[in-house]
Amino acid sequence: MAYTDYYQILGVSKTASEEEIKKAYRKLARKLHPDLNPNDKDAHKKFQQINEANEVLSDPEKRKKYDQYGENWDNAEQFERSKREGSSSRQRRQHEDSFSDFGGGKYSDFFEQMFGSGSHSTKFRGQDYQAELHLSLRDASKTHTQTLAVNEKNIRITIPAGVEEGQVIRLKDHGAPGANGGPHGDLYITFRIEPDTVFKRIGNDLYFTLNLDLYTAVLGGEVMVETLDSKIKLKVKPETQNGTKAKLKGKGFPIYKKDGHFGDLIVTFNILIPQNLSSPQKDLFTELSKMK
Amino acid sequence: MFEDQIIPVEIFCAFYQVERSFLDNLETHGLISISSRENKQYILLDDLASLEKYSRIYYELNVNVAGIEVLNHLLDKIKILQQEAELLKARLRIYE
Repeated sequence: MAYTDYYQILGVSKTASEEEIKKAYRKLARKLHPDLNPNDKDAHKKFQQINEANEVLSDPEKRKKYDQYGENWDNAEQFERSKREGSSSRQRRQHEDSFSDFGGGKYSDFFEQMFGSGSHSTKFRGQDYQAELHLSLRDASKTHTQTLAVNEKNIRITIPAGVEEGQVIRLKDHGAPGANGGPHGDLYITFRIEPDTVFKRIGNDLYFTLNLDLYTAVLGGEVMVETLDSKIKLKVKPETQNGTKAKLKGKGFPIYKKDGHFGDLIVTFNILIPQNLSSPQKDLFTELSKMK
Repeated sequence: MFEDQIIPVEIFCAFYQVERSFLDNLETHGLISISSRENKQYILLDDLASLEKYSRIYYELNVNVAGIEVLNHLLDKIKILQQEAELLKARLRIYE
């Protein structure tokens, strides 16, 4: 566990007055306060550090102890404990759990070992949770409910049709409980939409490649086109070229929170050249080529 | 308005130890709504999270209400920009 230099954290000298410490803390708190830095883990961590530094340095007794032991606080702790226990044991304290300085707890190991935990009375909002929810493209096209297990609690949420890849929704008060009676944090769910084997989605439009036989492409006709939930007839104009696109208005992806509104379905024709031609077919193509 | 959607102003002030004038000031700046019914005043439950945030900024950071209004506006802008950046990143991934 590293020694924590609270003076350095607040950017003040070791001889700083109470007023200077207060001023330095306020300045940093205004910069790093979690309310002003939503979703910024680094700022949250630094805010915890400056709070801890302020709690020690603004309390004359704590500051005295901190100044007295300084970098050797760890040995001082051992010395005091051995005195208390009446033992000459000099065994180094073993950590039973995996502390990590400012990793996620409210105080660093340094603070807790030196001053004990729970001496704070400030209310802190609980940490926000982040979760990812993977949906197939077809699931994302329908309003439906899903039950999520977050920290052993089941949360039932309604997912509106049309959610996008990377879209985030917030579930208020479903984050970690607050400290000292502070409010719960929130739960942020990021949607991850799995790629579909048939359709590609860009915004609210769907893209689909349709394999078209040469004869229909040349002579025109009708083909069945798959949409997200049905099949529809599409007219193919005679002499349709490879790569031609047809737009089916309103047959694309549902628009988020706009009931009854849909994007478009864009069909790209991929014309297939016949293979394994029979002799009569080859003859006909030869005849055609001569008619150019 | 349902009973479970409102909180009496004096209860909020007592619980959070904030002055009544602070709430009036927030209302003047359009940051919260205070509604009246039978000579009693209430805040909306929907405003509670924001109100807690404004109280923290006001009391912990010594930012006045005009400053909170500016911060609120900028935070909203940041939130929209962050969401937009996330969506654009997701769209770019389609082309990768």
